[in-house]
Amino acid sequence: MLDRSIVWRRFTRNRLATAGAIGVFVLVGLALFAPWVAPRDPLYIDMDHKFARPGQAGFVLGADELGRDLLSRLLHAGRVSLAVGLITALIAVLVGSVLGALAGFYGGGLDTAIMRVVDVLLSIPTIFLLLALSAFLKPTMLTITLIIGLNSWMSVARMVRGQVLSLKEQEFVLAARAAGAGSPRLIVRQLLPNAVAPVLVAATLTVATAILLESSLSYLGYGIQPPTASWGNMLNNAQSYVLYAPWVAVYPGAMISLTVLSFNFAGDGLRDALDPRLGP
Amino acid sequence: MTLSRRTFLAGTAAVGVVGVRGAAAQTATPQKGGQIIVGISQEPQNFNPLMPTIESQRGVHMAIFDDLWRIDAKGNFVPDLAVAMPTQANGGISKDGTVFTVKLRNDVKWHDGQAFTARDVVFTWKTLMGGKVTAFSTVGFDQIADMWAADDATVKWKMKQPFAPILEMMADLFIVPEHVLGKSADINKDEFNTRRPIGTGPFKFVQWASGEHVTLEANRAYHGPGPYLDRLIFKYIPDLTVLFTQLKTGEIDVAGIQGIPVDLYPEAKTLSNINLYVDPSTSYETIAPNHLLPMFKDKRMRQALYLGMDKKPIVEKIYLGLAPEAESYVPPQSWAYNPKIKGHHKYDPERAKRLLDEIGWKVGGDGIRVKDGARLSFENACTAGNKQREQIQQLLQQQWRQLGVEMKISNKPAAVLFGDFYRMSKFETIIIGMAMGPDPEHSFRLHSKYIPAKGGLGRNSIAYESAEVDRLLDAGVRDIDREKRKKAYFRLQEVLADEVPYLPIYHFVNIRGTRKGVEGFRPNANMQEYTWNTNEWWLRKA
Repeated sequence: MLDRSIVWRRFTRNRLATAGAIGVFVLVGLALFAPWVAPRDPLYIDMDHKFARPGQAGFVLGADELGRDLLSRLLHAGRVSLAVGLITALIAVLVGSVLGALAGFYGGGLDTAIMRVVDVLLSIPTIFLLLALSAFLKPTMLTITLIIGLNSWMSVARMVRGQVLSLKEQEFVLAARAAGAGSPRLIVRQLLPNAVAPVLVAATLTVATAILLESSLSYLGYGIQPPTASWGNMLNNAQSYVLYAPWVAVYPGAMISLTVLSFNFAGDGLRDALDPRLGP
Repeated sequence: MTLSRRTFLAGTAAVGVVGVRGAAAQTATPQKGGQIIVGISQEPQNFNPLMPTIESQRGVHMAIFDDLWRIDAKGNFVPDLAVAMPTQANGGISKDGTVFTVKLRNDVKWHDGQAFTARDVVFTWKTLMGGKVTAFSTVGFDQIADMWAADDATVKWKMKQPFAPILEMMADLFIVPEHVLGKSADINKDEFNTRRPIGTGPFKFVQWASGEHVTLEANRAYHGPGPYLDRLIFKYIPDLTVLFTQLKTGEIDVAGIQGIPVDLYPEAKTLSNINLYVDPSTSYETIAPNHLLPMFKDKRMRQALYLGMDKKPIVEKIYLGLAPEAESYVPPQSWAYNPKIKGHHKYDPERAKRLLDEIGWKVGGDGIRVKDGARLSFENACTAGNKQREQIQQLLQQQWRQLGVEMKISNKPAAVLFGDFYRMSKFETIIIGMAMGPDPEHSFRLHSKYIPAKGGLGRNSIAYESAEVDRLLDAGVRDIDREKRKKAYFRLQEVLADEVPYLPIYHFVNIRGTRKGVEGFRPNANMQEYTWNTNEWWLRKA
C-alpha cells in the first residue's frame, strides 16, 4: 500500500478533489445540524405565504406550494437524501466486497453462482427492479435505502472479484500463504486492503446514483412519502411550478447537482491519489 | 325540440321528437378531414364497455359504442340508437311506469357490417346481469325484471317496480354485438376487450399500442351526423404537466382526462392558442374512512374529523376559488340539492376535541390521542403525483395533528390504488373523487348491498352500512314523481350531514383545453366523459 502522506499530498494537490471533499464535509455538516441550523419548522404549512418569493416575509429562500420554508426543507431534506446515499453506498460496499472477494478467492462453483446472480441482477433494468421490490414493501426511509442498496452492490462485487483474482497470484500473497496464513486471514489482511482504492471510488459514485434513484422513486410515488422532504421529492413536486415559481425547483436541483459533483470529484481524486502506478 | 328529462320526470305530457345526439348549437359548417389527438393521463386497457372501467376508458368507449340515448348539457335526452324517447304520453312507458317500449333505428350497422337489431340490446342487458362478464355495475339495471325483442326494431322491458333513474342509467349502457360476443367462450378474456372491439359508434377501433396510444378511424357508415374527422387518437401521457406542455406545443389537440391541473390554470389563461373550458361537474372530492375498521365505527369520530377540517384554505388556496365547497354528494346545480345543507359543515376544532374526549380518545404523551392502548393514527392514500390531493393531504395532516390525530401518508400509483386496494376496502382512509351523474340516485356508492368486500357488485368500497340511508336511497328511486323524490333526497342529505359516512371537500370543476381550431368540443356534466359527441368534432383548417 501507498504511504498515507503520499496519498494526502496527491489528493490535496488536486484542486477539484479538494473542492469536492470540502463540499462533502459542508453538506454532511449541514445535514447533521439541520435541526439547529434550520430557521423554521420544515413541515409547518402556512397557506397565506404560498409561493413566497426568496427574501419575502422572512423566507430566506422563499416558500413552496404550501407556504413551507424552503431553506428549512432543503436542510432537512439533506438528512434524508444524504442518509439514503451514504447508507446505500455502505451496503453496496459491504455486500459487494464480501461476495466479490469470496467469488474471486475460492473460484469454481461458488464463483459461478455468485457471478451469475450478479449478471441476472445487472440485466434487469434498475428502475423496474426497484418498482417490483417496492410494490411489496411499504415505502419508508429504511426500506427505500435497503432496496436501493441491495440493487447497487453488483458492480462493486465484479470489481472486487477482478482485483482479488489478479492479486491472489502475486508474490506477497503466495508468501503469506507459504507462511501459513489461512484463507479468511488472507482475504481480510492481504487481499481486501489492496482492493480498497477502486472500492472507495465506486462508493462515492454510488452515493450520487442513490440520491438520483430515490428521486426517481419519489417521482413514481414509491419514494419518501410526504410531508417528509427529500431533495428528490422536492424537485418532483416543483415541476408544475417551474414557470412561475422557479425557486421551488432550482434549490433542490442545485443541491442534488452539488452533492453529485462533490462526491464525484472527491471520488475521482481519491482514485488518482491511491493509484500505485502514478508518481508521488 | 328535444324532450326534457325534467318534463318527463314531472309526469306531465311532453312530445318526444326525433333528434340526433346533440344536433343543436352548430354555428359554422363543419369541415371534413384531419385527425385530433387527445391526451389522457390514464391508459385505457379494456374496450369492453360492460366491464369495470376507468374514466379514460369510458372516454374511448363513448367514441366506439352507442347507447339508446344520451343526455345533453341542458339535461335533455337525445335519442341515439332509439328513434324517439319513450314517454307515458307516446305510449313508450306504461301508465304504472313499469313497462318500456323503445323503437330502434333500423339503419344502424355494426363496424363489421352486420345489422344492429333489438336482440343486441337484449343481449347486452342479459350479459351484464347474467354473470358471464365481470360487470362494471349492475346497480339500477337489476331493477329490470325482463327484457325482450318484440321485433328487430323494438325492444321492451319490464321493471320489477317503478324505478325513476332508469332512463339516465340506460344512457350509460353501451350496446355490444350479440353476433360477436354471443359466441365467446369467455367474455372476460375475449380479444374483443383488447384487440377487436366492435361497436356502432362514430369511430372504429384500429389499434391499441400498449403504453402509447389508441387509434380510432372514422366509421363512414355512422347513422348520425359526422364523424367529420378521419382519425381520433388517444395518446397516453401519464404526467399532467407534460400533457399540458404538449397541448401548448401542439403535440396534442385536446387535454382530455384529467384536463389541465388547477395549478397550471393561471398560466393556461394567458395562452392565446388554447381554448379553455371550465365546467361544473357532478363529481366531488372526498376523504373517506374504511368503515370496516373499528376506529371509524362511531359517527362522533367521523364528525370530529370533519369539524377539524378547515376547507377554506383548500378551496381558496389550492383550488384557486374555482370549485365550490361540498357538503354532500349532490352538487348545487342539481334539482335534488338541499339548500339547507349549505353551511352545515363548520370548522370548529374545539368542538372536535370535545367530541374525541367524549368517546374516550384521550391525549397521550406524544400528543396523539390514545384509547385502550391504541393510538389515534391511520394511513391516508391518494393517487401518487396528484398535486392537489397531495397538498390536501398535507394540509389535513397538519389540521388534524392539532386535534391529536395522526395521519400518515402512503400514496400509490393509480393502477394499484384503484385496484383491490380501494375496491376491496384494504385502505384505512383515502382521498378520492366520486361522481354522482345526472341523477341523484347514489346507491352504487352508499347502499349497504353494494359493498364489494362483502360480495356486493357496486362501489361502496368505503363499506358504509346504514339502514336509514339504505331506506332513503330506495325511496328516492321508487317514485317517478320528482317532488316525492326530492323529499327523499333532501332528507338523505340531512342524514348524511349528521352521519358523515365520508368527508366531502369540494365539487369538482373540469378544466379542459383544446388547441384553437378544434371545433364541436362541448363538455357536458350530464355525460360522464367529454367524448360524448366526438361525431361532431371537427378541425378548422388554418
